[in-house]
Amino acid sequence: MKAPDQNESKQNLIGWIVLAALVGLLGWIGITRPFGLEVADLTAGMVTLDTLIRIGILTILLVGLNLLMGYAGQVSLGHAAFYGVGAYMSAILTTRAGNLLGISGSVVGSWWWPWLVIVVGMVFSGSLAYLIGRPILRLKGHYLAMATLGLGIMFFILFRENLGFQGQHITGAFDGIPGIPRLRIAGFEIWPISRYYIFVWLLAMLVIAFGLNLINSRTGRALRAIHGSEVAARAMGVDVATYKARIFAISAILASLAGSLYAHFQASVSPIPFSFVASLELVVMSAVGGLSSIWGAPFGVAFILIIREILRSRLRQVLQGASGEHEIIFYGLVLILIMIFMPEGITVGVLNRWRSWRSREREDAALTASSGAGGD
Amino acid sequence: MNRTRSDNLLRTARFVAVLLLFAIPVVYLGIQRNYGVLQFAQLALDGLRGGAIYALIAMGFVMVFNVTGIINFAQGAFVMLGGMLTVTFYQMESSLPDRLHLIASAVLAVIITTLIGILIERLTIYPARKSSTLTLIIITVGVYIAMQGLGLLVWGAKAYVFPAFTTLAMTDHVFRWFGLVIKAQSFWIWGSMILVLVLLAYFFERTLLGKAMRACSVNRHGARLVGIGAERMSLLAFGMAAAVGAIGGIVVSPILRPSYDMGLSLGLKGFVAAILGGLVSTPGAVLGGLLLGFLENVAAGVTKAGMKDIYAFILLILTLLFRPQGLLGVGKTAVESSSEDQG
Amino acid sequence: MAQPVTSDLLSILELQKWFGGLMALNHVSFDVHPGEIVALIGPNGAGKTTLFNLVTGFYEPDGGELYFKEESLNGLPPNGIARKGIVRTFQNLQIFNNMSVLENVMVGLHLRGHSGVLAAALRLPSALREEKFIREKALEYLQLVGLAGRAHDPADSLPFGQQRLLEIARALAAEPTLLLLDEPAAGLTQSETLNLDELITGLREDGLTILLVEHDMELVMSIADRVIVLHYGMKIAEGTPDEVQSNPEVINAYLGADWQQDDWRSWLPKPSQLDTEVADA
Repeated sequence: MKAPDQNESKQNLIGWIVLAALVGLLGWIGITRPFGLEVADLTAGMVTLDTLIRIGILTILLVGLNLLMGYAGQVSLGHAAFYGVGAYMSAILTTRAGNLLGISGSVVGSWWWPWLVIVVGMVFSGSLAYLIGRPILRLKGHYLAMATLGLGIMFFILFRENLGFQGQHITGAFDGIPGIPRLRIAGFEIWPISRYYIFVWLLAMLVIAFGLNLINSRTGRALRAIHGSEVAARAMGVDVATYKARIFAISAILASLAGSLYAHFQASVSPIPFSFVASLELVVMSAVGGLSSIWGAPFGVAFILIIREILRSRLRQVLQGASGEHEIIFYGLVLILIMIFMPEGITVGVLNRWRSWRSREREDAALTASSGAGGD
Repeated sequence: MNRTRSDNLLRTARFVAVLLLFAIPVVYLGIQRNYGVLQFAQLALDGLRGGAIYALIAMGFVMVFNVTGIINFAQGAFVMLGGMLTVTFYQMESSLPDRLHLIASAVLAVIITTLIGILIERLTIYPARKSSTLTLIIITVGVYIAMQGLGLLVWGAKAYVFPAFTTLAMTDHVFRWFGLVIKAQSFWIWGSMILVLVLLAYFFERTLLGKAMRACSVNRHGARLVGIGAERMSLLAFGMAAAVGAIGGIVVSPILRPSYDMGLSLGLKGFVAAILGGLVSTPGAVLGGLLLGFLENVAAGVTKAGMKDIYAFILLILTLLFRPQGLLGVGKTAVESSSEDQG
Repeated sequence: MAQPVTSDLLSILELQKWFGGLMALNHVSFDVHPGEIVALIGPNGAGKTTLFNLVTGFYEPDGGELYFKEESLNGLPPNGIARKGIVRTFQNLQIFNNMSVLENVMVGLHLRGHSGVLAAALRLPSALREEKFIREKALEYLQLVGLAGRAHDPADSLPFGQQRLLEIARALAAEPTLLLLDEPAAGLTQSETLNLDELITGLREDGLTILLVEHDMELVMSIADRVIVLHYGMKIAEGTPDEVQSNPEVINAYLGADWQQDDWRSWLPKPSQLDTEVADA
């Protein structure tokens, strides 16, 4: 029987090829527009280059979330908090650092400053996650779910209420912060959108590689051991709480990175994308793609983002201008159905069923062959 | 060994110290605004009213958790259903005198919500009963958002108005005692909380079914061995939690205009209250609810209004960090992952 | 308070554990000397697995002391105890079903590696070298128990007896000074038990100290240097297998006061008749 590690490498290779092909093809169409063709034309107006970039950004976040949920076995119900921290930190420090912190305009305007801010955001998010995660992950049960729930709402309120201070000078309250500069490397601006597409997807693929490398390492093995039998992992010397906290921190760091990328893409931030419903959306994406699947991440993101677009446009027609987020009914149903019938996620679930169907076919073929050849 | 007891004492002391630390800036800010004892008392009283609602919701959480081990994130949906259904029924034409109409609407709302709770249990929890707790928790999250979405579909995004119970009008009768302002609805709220608490206490202590539920929560396997089925207990727990949640939604509606998303904030805070109380008993839930309501309102009263919701969650994080077993919970070792469930 | 004697590897002194109102371990004391095979026996419920859980840090004692190489073990978490050199197997089998046979043993080598997240993510040469080392070592341990041929199979595809061996291989990979085996023979066939016998005695020859909990009396009598008998949480006998076998209190504990059977061992259930205790999920 083939080594599972060999099977995995084959899977990974296929994954890379498919992803690279999709990203490359769609990107090429979106950027060069051969024969006047647009990405939107291929997808009935549902997907544009803009959507593809958003998928890339959220993929970065979701790889981290899947590592947390699939390997530490803990659900984060407030991950939008870290996403928001990255976004707001990038927004605030690239537009208001002068007023708020007295940092000179030449520094804030320099090309390297936004990159530094991105790193600062990642460090802040990671540290916060580790500090809170470490004591809570020692506890039996699903206390991290509760803590992240609280964190998510806390940060949302902080963003919305200007950190508690009067006025709008810090987070811009409900209106948010406009005018976020584009990212540059020396003189080279990572804009227009075509350049940002390549940039985001390069990063996304690096993050996917990071995730895959992690799973196949000593750390990944320890995490999978925790997943398999926490008791035995402990007995073999794995410091379970620390590992879980580390993964939580990593997921927060990646979310923060995604948030910063979002800020520089959108050029403005507001509190809405970082609400409780946003956090739930992330959980749904993770469930669809597969809680512990790295390859499932881009798939889950794409699936939900596209469905959301469809739902919003169709529902608006059906419900005659109704306001509010009706798509959450769908999210709820999807979540329930997947967790009951295919908890390993759609990617892994479909793959498994296809494989067992294939092996059954082979068995049937072998049986008919032998009974045919035998002659009775 | 004495080590564990003194350890526990130290941890409780730490928690109380943290709470006191919380209290100092609050008092300071209050003084800055020239708040006297009266203002603090008023804030406290109003907080206790909110706290009673949290207590009702928390009791629902505790019931489901004790019997099934699941954190039922759909509890808030029951609250919403209670309030919205009552509004819908009350707004219908009826030949009944107003007071009777209101009572009938409320009773019907509770019954329907209970049935919905049972339906949810059978449709979503029961099929997944062999899955991990993580899966079940995610399912209840899914149930909540589906219910909120359905609420949006059925009732729209509008915030409805609901008459106060005493006057059956929009303005409530107000008591002015000792300089404090108390709405009559507050007594309905406190009354409901006490009534539910007493009824549940009687149920769990004196009735066979209640004792069976307790047995199930203490030792599921042992209970099964004497013929108590976990599945039926789970059904019962969800039904009761739905009823209690609905009651909470109904009595709070005159104060908080019912809408499709009222369950979110209330549910989450009820949940924080349950954690604060320790997730072990209904009295704990009540204690947690009242404490949360009190702390939250006093803190919100001295700081910016929009930040009110944040205090519940700050308290949640603090509790999880310093006293995860809550106020009445057994001991930190009970919640610490010591893998006692192997071998 | 009693102090550990320097010739002991493991010292258990007046160990107590309460579960609610039940005293699972009642002032139990004994020692394990280096290079010994000590068997812990007793009727079901006597407290044997509780003792294991206390020694390996899964429970905290309510009283008494635990010393390993003269260092106190009290309060150490399970992974800390593994670091000290005490490794265990589990009565109800805790292999990692989601990984291959080889990977299971590789987890046993966790403490021998150092590479962390960054090294893994960046595929640093040091991490890759370490992986290679761990993989090769793990294969060696599989060869030791005879499972090398199935290294790449999923762990849950192994038959039960081989899964037990896998757990032992994994524990050995952690290079313990003291190996704790919790009912290693439970559910094994006669021939598998004989293999186990050889394996364990072979390990002792390599210098490993072994403490095992067992119900299979033939195995115990065959390999144990000393036997310790627990009953209702108390130590009721300690000595060589022969001494213990003829101890009237031990006979009493297993069979009741009026029994006069000479070879009472023959009245104990054979391994294949024992219901293997499978823990509820």
